[in-house]
Amino acid sequence: MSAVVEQSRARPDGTTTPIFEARDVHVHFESRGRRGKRKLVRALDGVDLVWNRGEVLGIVGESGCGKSTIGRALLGLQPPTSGEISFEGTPLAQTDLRDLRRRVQMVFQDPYQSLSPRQTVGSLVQEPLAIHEIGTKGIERIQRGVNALEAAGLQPAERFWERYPHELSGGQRQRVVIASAMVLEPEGLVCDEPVSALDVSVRAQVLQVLMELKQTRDLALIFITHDIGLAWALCDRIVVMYLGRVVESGTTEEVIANPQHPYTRSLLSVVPTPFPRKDLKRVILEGELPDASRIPPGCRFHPRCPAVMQRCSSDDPRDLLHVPGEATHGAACWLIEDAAG
Amino acid sequence: MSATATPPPQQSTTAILSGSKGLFGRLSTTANRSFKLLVRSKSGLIGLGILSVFTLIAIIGPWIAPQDPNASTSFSDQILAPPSSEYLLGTDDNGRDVLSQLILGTRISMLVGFAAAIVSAVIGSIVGISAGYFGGWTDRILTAIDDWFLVIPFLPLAIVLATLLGDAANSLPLGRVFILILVIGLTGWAGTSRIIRSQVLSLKQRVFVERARALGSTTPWIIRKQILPNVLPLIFANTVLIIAISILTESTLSFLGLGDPSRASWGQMLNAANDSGAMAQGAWWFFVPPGVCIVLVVIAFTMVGYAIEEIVNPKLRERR
Amino acid sequence: MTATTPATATRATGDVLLNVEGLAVAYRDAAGNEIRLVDDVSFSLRRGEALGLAGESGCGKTTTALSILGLLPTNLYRAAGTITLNSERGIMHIDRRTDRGLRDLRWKNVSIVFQGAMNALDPVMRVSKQIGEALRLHEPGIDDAGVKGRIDELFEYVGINPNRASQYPHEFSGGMRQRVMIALALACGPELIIGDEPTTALDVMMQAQILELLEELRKEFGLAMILITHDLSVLAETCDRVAIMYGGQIAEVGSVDTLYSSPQHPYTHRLLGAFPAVGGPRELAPPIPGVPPDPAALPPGCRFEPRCHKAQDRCAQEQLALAWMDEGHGARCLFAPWPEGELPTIGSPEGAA
Repeated sequence: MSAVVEQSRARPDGTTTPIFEARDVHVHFESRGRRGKRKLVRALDGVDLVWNRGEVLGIVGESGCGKSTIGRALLGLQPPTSGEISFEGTPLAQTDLRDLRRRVQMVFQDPYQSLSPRQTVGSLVQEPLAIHEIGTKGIERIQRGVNALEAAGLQPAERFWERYPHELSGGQRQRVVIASAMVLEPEGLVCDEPVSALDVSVRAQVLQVLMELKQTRDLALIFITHDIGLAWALCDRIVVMYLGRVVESGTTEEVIANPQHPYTRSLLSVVPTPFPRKDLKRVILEGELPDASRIPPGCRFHPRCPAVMQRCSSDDPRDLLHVPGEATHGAACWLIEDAAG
Repeated sequence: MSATATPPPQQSTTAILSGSKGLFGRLSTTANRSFKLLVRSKSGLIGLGILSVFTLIAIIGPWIAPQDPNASTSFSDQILAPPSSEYLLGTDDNGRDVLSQLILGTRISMLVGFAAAIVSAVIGSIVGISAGYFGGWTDRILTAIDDWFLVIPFLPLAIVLATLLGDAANSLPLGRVFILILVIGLTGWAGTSRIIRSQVLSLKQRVFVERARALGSTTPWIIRKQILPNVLPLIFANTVLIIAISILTESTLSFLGLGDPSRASWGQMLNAANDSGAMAQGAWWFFVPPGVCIVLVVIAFTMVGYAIEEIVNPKLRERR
Repeated sequence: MTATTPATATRATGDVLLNVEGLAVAYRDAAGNEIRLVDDVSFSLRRGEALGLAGESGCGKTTTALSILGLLPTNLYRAAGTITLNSERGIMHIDRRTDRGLRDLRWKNVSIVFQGAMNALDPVMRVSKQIGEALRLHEPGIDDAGVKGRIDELFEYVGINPNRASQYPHEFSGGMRQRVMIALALACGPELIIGDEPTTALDVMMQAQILELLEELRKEFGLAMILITHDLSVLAETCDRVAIMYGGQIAEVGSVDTLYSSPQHPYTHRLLGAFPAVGGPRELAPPIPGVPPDPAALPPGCRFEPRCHKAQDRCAQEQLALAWMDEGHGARCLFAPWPEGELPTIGSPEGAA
């Protein structure tokens, strides 16, 4: 793991064990391409990541970059092909997964698909308690369920208790998902595009629920999103992914105000915004994200890179290089080495 | 949003507790709702109507049949007599009342149909869910067995099984009828298991199942709480259609002489009609009524089955 | 109903291509009542101009756009208003046209790229055949060589290698398919293109590519464009003017700059805050509480009043007309124009050099 990522472990208040650490995580899938040829899809190709207690981490990238995969891998829903993931210092393989699940929960992207169509809201929100055998059946579990629903903004809870998911709007469904995750009183929430399927005003409402929960319970959050504006507004640290690798990492300020990796720079230059940046030239990348089964040699971004150099087609910048002057800011780009040297 | 005055949590909980129904309550609500929806579909209604009549007949059969076909007194010398005021549907080749046989036959035909379908459903569900959920070698082996049963021509298999098991049957209650149920059930499960396997495969991928895993559920929990409830309606709809097929199958097997000659069933009647040359002699009252009954019941089950399929799919149910 | 017709505010400055006045679209409910989904919508579009239509789902933006093409679903009808297209081929009164007349103008004068259009291609037909179909339908005399030539031309415009025309849709990626749909929309040389959330399903980079493409095409062919989206940031980058719709009506309309720097409707103000923009303040604006109104149960006064943070008693009592301030800037609010600082605009960019 690169020094920069190690650095991002430290927290001002002294607690140094992060909730999750990922070291050199690879997730490869075998699949059959056209004409039946076997191909290896490298969804994650060497990811280092640190998620600290109480921190809001943004994992940003376009579709196919692996951001959802790393989210699921952290929670043990996707076993890595190689590499190690640790929960509070203990490797996942030796962790009690049930304990992990009780303490770190996930909010999925599509509120229309993530709730079982045959369960009522009341049943859905009590289910986690039943699974983990928390509280006594009956009044205690109902009480906890009610509290969770109301904290997620569904008030009064009894109006929703007997309803089925298809009777609720997208925003309401997402709140039920959040409530059922929060009923376990977890320490962390991994949110995979929690609002991208929702309409405009509902989006803001659901985000506010999440941020309020963060404030009141010191919840750690991961936002997996392609919406850079969201990451800018809500996250403490940001990690930018491209084709299965982290290409840039640092605090939100560091990465957004002073992007170092040409991909990040390009992304930021084309994000629609009422505040066009004067420091970034607008660079629309040509072509499209390559197939994850045909990753270019050397630096995986080099075929589309506006600042490509000779060595980029053969040397793969595996680790994040430290950006001078900024404590936890790193980018996987040879330009930094050249600038430093 | 949360700053507005809200009733203290205690109130909500009490409201919920007082309004909540136990398992029985929930089941009866579902049954109620489903019935109302079923009744909305015209074909479902017709099918249900026909089935009610036949079920009624099956139940009260012995009491309304003018004669007991097995009683020695039923035999008369009016061989293959056409319908008259004494014998409303005429007589068979032994001078027995055809109507009585028809009425009592309802019982056997429908019993075999139901029982065989349940056997099919149970085997099919276990195989389908296991193959679909566990995948890997379990799936490969189970699917291979499934393929085998699907490919083997049904009739020869049924004949072989019926013959092999036939002799053991005589000591069992219901005798050969039991064998019939077993044979139809064993040959009919393969189609059901295929459908269920597909459904389970698609359910496995659904996000809410992944969410259940993320919540910390164990495999038995997921199967019981997530997979089963979403598969049960399909099983139900499919089983209703299988009943129709089973009744048809029973009729076929009985017609071929593999049934129980001592118990009247529609297929049995067709068998007797054929053997005795009733068809050649034009004694239509012997073979047309059972044929018509078979057709009616099968169509009725099919109509109800399709109506249930519509109910079963919640998306079709939504009225926004 | 309007103080100054919106049309006069903009007609004065150039040749107007499309004029929509007092458009209302409705359906009849079970009891026979007229329920309006679009009410009193008026705007005009000049040749080569890009107008953005923004709002939450259900606000009527798509219905308005479909009316321009006469593509309303069968249960909806035009309850009032006129739609006039000042085409180079003559003035066309779209609201009065018959089905045949509409079919004639569709694709040749006005075409549309739908949301999720990339999935609208027939998966078992080659792309060239599908475009060819459209061409032959609208230009009956065209021959095979003509079709091929036109397809080559179109693909060049949208940046796809013309050799790929004979491929099937699944051989193209999502972004490429969207380009194909744009090519299809251009096939018969329309004067106006309507894009209904054309980039919503796409990634940032692909979105940028498509928007850039649309921009280039507009300049090259002098196309007018109506862009429908809920993403205000996208509108900020691509449109000249924006109309914000709420509850079936236009809540505010004006140039992009004006709307961003001094919105005059509380809804616009809140909507702008709902999209944290990179470079803006690092916080979530307070969300708009509640949900959009039910067209069958509209509030008696201002439609936004139940959710408005600036609402006062009068607001629930009076029906409102668009109040015009200047330069084609109108807002449907009793208190427009607001005193400086009442509707604070988004903060100044942070960190931009």
